[in-house]
Amino acid sequence: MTLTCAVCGGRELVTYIKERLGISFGETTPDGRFQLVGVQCLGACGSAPVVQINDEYCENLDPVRLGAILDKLVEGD
Amino acid sequence: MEAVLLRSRGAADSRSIDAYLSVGGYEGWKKALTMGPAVVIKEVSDSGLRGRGGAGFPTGRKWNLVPQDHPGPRYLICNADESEPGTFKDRELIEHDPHEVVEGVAISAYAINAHTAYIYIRGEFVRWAAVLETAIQEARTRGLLGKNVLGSGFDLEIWMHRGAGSYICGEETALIESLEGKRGFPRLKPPFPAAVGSSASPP
Repeated sequence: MTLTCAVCGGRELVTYIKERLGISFGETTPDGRFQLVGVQCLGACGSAPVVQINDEYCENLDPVRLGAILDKLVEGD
Repeated sequence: MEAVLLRSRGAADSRSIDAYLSVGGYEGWKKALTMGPAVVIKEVSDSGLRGRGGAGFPTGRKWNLVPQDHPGPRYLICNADESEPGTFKDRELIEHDPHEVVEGVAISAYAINAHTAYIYIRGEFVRWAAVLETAIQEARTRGLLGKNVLGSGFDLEIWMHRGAGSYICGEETALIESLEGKRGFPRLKPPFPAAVGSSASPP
């Protein structure tokens, strides 16, 4: 994570992700469904903080929004 | 302030070639093809147009760096690696006006007499690589790219090339290394890419 995401709530988002999934960077959840990878910058600084899930950019995030996205993913499969 | 590059932002279906043509898109390309490369370079130099790669390098001057007497082949490389933290200009242009990018690449290639152009786009921009690929195909279908563009005698193919997630591939020599299938590691300069670029041809 570089500057823009960091100052736009990226760190809080990371805390949330780690708690929710119970894993840290470089790890995979025991059920094999989520892997957490840290990247430098996704080139979406106008809509920070941002995560990329598979090929999709998820932007303008906060823990609530990301939580909803993760809920959908979990349901969806 | 009048929007120039971003004038299509917000317009419905701004990505389609018909929408682009309806606002005068590709008129610049058609005109350039009748002007001859030297005149195109002069026009761009006189305009004061500069790049947005941090150095603000004058575009006309960059084109003039390609040696006239090199036997070729020449390549035009468009840097859509967008890795500088804080910047998302490439993405904005591609998202809203990919044909504007395609037309710019075409005119640039013509100015340096390159018949092959590559758009190097960072690997994470999956969606935007697809957007550009669609635009290139649309342009090809309308005879704006390919062999003997619009009967001008000029051939031009534009290829998309996706990167694999490396910040340094935004640096021109590392980009070229990556494009050639090697590790994205910057080269020593000189020689400069305009003279010795991709596969030892001017880019």
